[in-house]
Amino acid sequence: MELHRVGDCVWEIPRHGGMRVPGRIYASEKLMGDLRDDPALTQVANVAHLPGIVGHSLAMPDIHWGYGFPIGGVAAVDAEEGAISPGGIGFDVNCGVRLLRTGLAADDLAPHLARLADALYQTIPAGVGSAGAIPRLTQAEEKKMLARGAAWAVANQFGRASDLEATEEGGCMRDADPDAVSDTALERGRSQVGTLGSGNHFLEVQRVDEIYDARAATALGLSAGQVAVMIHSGSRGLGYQVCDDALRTMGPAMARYGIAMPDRQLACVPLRSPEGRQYLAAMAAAANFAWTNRQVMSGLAERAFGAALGLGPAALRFALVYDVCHNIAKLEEHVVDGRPRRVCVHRKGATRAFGPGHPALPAHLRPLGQPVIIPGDMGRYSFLLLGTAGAMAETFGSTCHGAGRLMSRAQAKKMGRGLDLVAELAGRGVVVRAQSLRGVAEEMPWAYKDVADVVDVVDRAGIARRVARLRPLVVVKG
Amino acid sequence: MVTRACDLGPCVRELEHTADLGLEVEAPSLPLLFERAGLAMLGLMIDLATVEPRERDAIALAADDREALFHDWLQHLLVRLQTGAFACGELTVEELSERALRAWGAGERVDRARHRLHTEVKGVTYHELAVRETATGWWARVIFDV
Repeated sequence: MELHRVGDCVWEIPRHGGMRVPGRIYASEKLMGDLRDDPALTQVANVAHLPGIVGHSLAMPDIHWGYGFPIGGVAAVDAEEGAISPGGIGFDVNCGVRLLRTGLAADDLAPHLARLADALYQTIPAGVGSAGAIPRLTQAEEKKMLARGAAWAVANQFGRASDLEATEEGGCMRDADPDAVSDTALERGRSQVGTLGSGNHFLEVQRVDEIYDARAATALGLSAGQVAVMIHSGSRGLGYQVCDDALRTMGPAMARYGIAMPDRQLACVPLRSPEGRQYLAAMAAAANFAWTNRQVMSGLAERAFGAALGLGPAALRFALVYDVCHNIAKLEEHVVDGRPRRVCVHRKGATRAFGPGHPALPAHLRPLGQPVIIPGDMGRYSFLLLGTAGAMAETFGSTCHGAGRLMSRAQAKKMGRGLDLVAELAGRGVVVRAQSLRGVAEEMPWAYKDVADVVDVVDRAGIARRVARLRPLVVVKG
Repeated sequence: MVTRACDLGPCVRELEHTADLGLEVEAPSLPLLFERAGLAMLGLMIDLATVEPRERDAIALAADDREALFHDWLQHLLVRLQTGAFACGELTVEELSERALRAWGAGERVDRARHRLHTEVKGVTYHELAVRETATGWWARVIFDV
């Protein structure tokens, strides 16, 4: 693959074959060293074939081999002429992460960590097909939830109203149409509200470990030594099925619209076609499911803290710092070639990172820029960043979403064989509760890039800036 | 013929895919390829040795081509497992054409107290999906989102 360095941390794949725009990858020399022979670079070039794509086919520094789109891929298509590709969003629609602050100090929590870990593990179902966090919904109630998003959870006593303005889109995409969601998808979601799932999903209790921007951290209610909670999960079986349903419809429909793509997983149709509209309405409903899911888990986590520590809400002082999506397509306005243009931005394993002053941000965040939460691996650390004007200018207001995998799951399992990873992490001061030890092995810290390297690139490239680092104290996994 | 998890042996290989999980499967016949791939995928999610063949589940599917049929077969088994409705420990493909199949699975409802669960497969992708005839039989490759 021909690759040119065009900036300190920016690399370009020139247009070739059916590429409509060049590819652009944000990476340091070190990260690019691991990437040169990775199929992810071909995937950046494949995405550049999307009808209506503008600017560049972008990849963030946590880029790795996905299916269809690379993980870490961002592509904006013209809102009138462009195509929507479910492969550019992924199976787990609105897989995302949220950060809650608490009124607790990590030093005071230390003697209670094991009890707290048990309470969280028992309260929030995790693992394959996890279900039953709250009573199974009727289909009518589920559809109400899909239309209202996180506000449905708040109305049902999970968290508080102020959490909604600290959630991307206020926790609800208004274009959601529950009737665009298939019966199979509805069935898969009905028992799964408030469940974590498995794979790289987690709930962590963390300690604010280092502050890089004291003013911004104070404005976000964070200080060193404070206890925070990070939750990473998505739209569970409902979202997975929405993606599968759309791929099934779009594959055969592509020929009707005269579209050919180099990978079947990149199936796409015009945004304005009936299939495109149907998918966007179902995707928005799945996104609303994911926000509800994370909001319910926040409420359950607060209850588990209360039960384990014998403290009430006034002492726990749970509050949402922010909640972001990683896998989504959104209609947004961006400046392209010097003029404002309405585009549909696909973010697949990438985070929205709107800069200061953006009208989509609530008043308390507008002077700062949008908080961006970057989870690392379970043994090291995670970061809180802020969106920047640079991201608005270069990446359609987008930045990285995590550490990015370095090792395949098979390699990680092989390397973890014979090791007691739970004991190893306990030695580092991290209490782990997991349903599957095989799952822990697949997610072991060495399987991931050092998230600090990834964050360093986005900070240097000016497409986000560092505010704080957080270290795990308790990890709950599927 | 019935295929059980213990019959898979070296006919199934886990692929080195960075983010997700992939499988390569071989078999002397196409029905056996479908059976082996189905059990191999279910085995990523649940310890099949803990699943008992207490009930039968009839499966009938149709699709646009062979690869789409293979995809839909795996997706069907995945959804049945994840909704807790049915974990298959044995599979038999009775009729298989280019675009349709009739099969049955033997297994039971998922019991989280008794069944050992592993990693959740979110979806069966079309990325690099292939079902091909070889000199010795049939070969398939599939990548799952996990």
